[in-house]
Amino acid sequence: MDDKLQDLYKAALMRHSRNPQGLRKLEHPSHEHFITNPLCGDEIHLYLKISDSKIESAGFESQCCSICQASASILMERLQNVPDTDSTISAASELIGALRETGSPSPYDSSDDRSALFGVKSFASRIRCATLPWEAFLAALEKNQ
Amino acid sequence: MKAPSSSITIPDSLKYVRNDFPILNQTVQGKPLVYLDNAASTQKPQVVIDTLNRYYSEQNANIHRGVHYLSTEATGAYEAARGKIARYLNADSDSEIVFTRGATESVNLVAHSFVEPLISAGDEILITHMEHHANIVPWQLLCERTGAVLKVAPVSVAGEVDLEAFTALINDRTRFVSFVHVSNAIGTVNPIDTMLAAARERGIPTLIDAAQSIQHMPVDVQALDCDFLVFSGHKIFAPTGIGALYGKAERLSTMRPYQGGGDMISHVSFEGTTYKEAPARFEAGTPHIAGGIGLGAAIDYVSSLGLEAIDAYERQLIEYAEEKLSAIEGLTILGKPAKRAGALSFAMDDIHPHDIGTILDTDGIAIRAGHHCCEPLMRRFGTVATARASFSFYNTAEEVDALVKGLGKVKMLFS
Repeated sequence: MDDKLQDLYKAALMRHSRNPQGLRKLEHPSHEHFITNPLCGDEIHLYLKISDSKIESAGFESQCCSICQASASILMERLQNVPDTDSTISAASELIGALRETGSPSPYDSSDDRSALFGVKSFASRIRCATLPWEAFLAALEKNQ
Repeated sequence: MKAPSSSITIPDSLKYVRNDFPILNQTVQGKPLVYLDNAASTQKPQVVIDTLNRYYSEQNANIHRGVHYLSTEATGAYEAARGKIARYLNADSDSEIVFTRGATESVNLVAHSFVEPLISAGDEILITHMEHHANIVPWQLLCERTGAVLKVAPVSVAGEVDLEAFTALINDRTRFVSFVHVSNAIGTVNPIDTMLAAARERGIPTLIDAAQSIQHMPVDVQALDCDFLVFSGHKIFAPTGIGALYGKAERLSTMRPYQGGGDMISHVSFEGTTYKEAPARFEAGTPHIAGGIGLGAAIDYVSSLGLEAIDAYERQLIEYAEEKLSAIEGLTILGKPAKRAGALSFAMDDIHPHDIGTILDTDGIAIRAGHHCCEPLMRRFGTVATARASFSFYNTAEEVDALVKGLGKVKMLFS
């Protein structure tokens, strides 16, 4: 198998993609955002219940590729472990920036599942697949401020 | 029993055709390029590249404006290209060919200059469910401006227009009918003769979107008796940014200008401006001169290969592709129309087309993944995106085999 391909479809990414965390619609969310990537048709609908800057629950619905699905699942897992709005805003901005910046390696330890997303850097047309769920998160917060 | 690739007969004119396309002779990701994205854009033969080079090296000047040598040369070459298009489509006269930026601009031009003045609130425009966005959105915008209603003829699960429903949707309120000849997304060849006859019976003017047909099969606008026909140059081996609108002389002569500017006027004064006759009336500003001349060269090239030969070869190739792809477990081809040309759309297990596209790309195989600018048609098939392989006469059975092998790799990775 091609090295770049193996790097793109890392085990951690495939695990998230096959068994995504938080793949569900939330009833009565406090924040939500529907985002599409018109290039490929990926769609993510993100739902959040936030109270006093604490993320009480999160979920998403999707029709998207494996990378986008895995990225959304990684976001969901983080929101479970670190249910804090402000720190997730920083984390989302940092991840999107690092993915978009040409040539920069993953700033995350290889044990951090976010590092599994960095295989997209060899495939320019797939970078947005990885950033899309995190963009949805930022947009949901901005919209419902 | 699978047909061996050697059973495909290659017409003499197409035997060495790949040598005409320098871009095909390269490796991508270390593998020979397999270009199966021809419905998105075709590659350019050396003769088109040379024509552009010669234009910029030897002929470049503005057209219709100069008495000097270069302007005369450029004008002559540009107008000769118009004539080539007219003959290719069997138009009655060169002046029935309007140069545009492509099929999209051609549809917008007809919507603005021909249909809008005819239409009132409550009137209807009829299209089909398999249209490209370029033959949907201009009509939606027109409906927003006028209060007209856009009617959509349904498409069957086989990927064919429901002709009975199409005919039934034509009524006293219908002012215009516009439909695609060959679907860019699933390759259906529509029975446009029958569809045109249904509109003509009620005296309703028609437009054919031929963006995916004139590179694959002969199209004769007089035999069809359509009022308008549109296409894009870059899908028929010419540069991007150039295309054409065919319009019957009697229609073009009644139409208001599209854009205002230089070259489309007879006289300009602050008291009132008068406009040239068609086609100049619809060609404001300096056009894509090199593109137009390049389009002429592309059309000469296709004509020299012969559309009958192209049609005969491509039909075998797409049948071969359909057979080989259908044999892959878990792969479903969208639609099963009676006649297909150019493109095959498919889904494989629950693997997203974007993943399929990336994995194939690492084998040097270029396909399209997405909605193919046909979101309504995708939804008709209960999906948002497909993988699409689209073919040209320079593709080979061996390339189909490479695609099948690549899809095996995709399955392995996602199993």
